[in-house]
Amino acid sequence: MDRQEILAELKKVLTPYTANKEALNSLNEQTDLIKDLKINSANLVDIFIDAEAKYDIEIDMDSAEKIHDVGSCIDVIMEKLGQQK
Amino acid sequence: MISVGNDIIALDIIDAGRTKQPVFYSRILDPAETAMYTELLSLPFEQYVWLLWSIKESVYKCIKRAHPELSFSPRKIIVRQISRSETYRSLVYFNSIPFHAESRVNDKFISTLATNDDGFDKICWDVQQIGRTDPETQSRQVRSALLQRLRSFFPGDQLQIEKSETGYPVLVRNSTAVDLPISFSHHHDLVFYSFISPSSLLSPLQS
Repeated sequence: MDRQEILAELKKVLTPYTANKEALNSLNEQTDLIKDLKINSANLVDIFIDAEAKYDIEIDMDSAEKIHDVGSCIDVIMEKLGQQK
Repeated sequence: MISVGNDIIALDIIDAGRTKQPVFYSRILDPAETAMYTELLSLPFEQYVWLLWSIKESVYKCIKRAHPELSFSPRKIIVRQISRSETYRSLVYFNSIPFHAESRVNDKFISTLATNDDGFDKICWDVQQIGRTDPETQSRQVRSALLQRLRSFFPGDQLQIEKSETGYPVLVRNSTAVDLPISFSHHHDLVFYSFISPSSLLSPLQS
């Protein structure tokens, strides 16, 4: 799975929690989850759990701490997928 | 320096079923905090989880002013004691530094104030219900409510709220940033602001 494919799938995970639908349409690796997508911090745990289910991975707390934008989210997902090989 | 942080959770929109799942709450509560849950607190477990979330997020905002590099990691902020009287009072630690939090729970929301001071009498705050839930309205309304209250302390001055580069709010008075701790939060149709009363600070604020 490459970064573009993960980004496309990630968009589906983020959609229910995103208040800024315009930013969602132009989603890219620099898109900030809170500042740009206006996701409430209270929904971040939901997003991690949904991403874990989607990719069959486990996002530990240290990894979750690194996630602030779409790019860092993809980094963590790729790292966890790589660990499964 | 005294700092303040706050957070609000609209209970209408929490997912109680998901909150009660260990995969969810174990990301917020450490095992000792889970064990600390007691019926004496008169809260359903899902509200207890969100109470601790709001305490931790408030403490994080309180710390962020002095440690802008910090990112929010709920399990690293530990609630050691919590008791109930008219409000919920808690003692919270981050890297062995103590913080105090005061939370209110009703059928609409959970709101929390956190400070590194030992009391809450120096904190001005208010929770307001707004007519819409979009982020632009939430942001505009909470700033408007906060500025309206602050104007009573700075009559005639030009006040505005800006965000620091690292994301915490800053009061700008007559074009100059003021070292007055302020905090705000919003969730769904609720906005919540707080600040340290300027009249309680030892030195007069320079503009």
